[in-house]
Amino acid sequence: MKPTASKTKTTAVPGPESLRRLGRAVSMRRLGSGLVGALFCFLLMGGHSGAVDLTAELTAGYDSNPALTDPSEGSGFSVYGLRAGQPLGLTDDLSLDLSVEGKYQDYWSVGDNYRVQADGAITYSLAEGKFLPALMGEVAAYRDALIEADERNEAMVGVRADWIMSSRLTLGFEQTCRWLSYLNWAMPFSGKGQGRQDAKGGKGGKRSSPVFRPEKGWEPSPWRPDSAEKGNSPLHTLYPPRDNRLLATALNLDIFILSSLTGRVYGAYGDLDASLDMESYREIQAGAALSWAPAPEWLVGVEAAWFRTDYHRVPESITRVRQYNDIWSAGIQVSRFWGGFEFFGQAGWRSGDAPLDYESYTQTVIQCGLSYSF
Amino acid sequence: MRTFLLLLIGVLLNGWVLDASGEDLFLGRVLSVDRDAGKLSVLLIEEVSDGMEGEENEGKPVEVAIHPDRLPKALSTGSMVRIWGDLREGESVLNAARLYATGSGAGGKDATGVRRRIGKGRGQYGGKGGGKGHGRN
Repeated sequence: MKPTASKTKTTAVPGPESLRRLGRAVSMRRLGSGLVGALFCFLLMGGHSGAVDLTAELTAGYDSNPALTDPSEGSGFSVYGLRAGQPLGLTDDLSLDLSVEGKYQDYWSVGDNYRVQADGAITYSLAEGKFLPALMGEVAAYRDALIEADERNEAMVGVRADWIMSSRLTLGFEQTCRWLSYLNWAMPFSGKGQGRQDAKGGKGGKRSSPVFRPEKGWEPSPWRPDSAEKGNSPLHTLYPPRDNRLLATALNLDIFILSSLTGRVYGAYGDLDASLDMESYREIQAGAALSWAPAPEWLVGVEAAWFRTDYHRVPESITRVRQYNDIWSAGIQVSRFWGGFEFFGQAGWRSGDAPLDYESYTQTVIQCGLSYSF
Repeated sequence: MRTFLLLLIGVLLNGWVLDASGEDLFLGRVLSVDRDAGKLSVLLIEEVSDGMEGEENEGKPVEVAIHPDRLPKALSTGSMVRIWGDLREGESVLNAARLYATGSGAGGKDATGVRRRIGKGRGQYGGKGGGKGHGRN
């Protein structure tokens, strides 16, 4: 890995803020390394038990827009991921699935992020196994040195039911409630893909880029320091860490088309109740995915999705905030398997609006990696 | 993008008319598993042959033979499975080309991580994550 200091070159003269960020980056790396190490130890111990499903993954690639902003600042990255899963058959009809998972994303020229989570699901089999209701739970921690406003802890409870309608079709339903407890003070709409660029003055979002130069004819964003709206505007006020609740309902249909071709169509509705009222939203999502296995060792996956978000509680007095946002995403992945090893190459593309009249973004991610399950 | 998404949905909803593999699709419940030998005993519940539903083998226990490497990890007695394979008349062994456990295959558990990597964790609500960031992540 490169020295941590190489990632903290956003200011030419080290000041208290840059020193604070440097210290934070170092501690993030230590914490991330510690978590990965702890997970790895768990995996090794679990490996001896013979019943735990273990997966380790190493990926490298390039992300054209890690912060989902415009203009963008791309970066190469590597990802280190570990997962341990433990399926337990309690009775013939009752099963328990437990898993822990950690992923550290090391961006080479911007801030890193990591996520650690633990999941559990208890499933009961009805109608001779054709109807499978489940209770689910999850706790997670997400840390991000690039978008500090996104750092949070999460807890989720939910129910899921899969109905095997026929040999070709399975219908899935899911209802979840997720608590999102953020850690940092932040200005409104400071999350990833929100378009805010004025990081100074607190944890207002993405770190400001020293290379940003407005093009001729470019109109100033309301987030800019020279914006006429800066001052007492609610958009330029730091608010306490958010305490949000997300209710989500999802339906999916899995389709077994050919022996080599399977697919899924899905739709979802989400309702975020944010402690900062204007950040609340309702969102609908639709998507489709196909998996094609032309040979036993090969797998090709494609997916496309669309999201529409309605920030329905933005005050009318705040102008230049776009209330309806659309996001399109698509991706393709090609995998080759050798026993427990999977080598994969993947390309993804995303285009979206931020909740501003001025900001929209595109992102392209190219990556390849190796995954090992044992 | 919209065209691409509609095309994907169109392929999904109409794909089985393209079925020319000659393999039949069976739905069954696992009675026993021998992972080392790649053999299962399965009680057949439903059969689709040449695109038509059949009842010839329904309710029968059959032996399924498959390469051990193609057996899903999450497979145990009582699991529902979908089997693409060939069961010839008068034979009791179903030679399977592919076998999907409940919740896998069409992306139910994203066994290969395809959707997770493509979505970079953004994912749908009906899966991991959702509602990331103050608005999104």
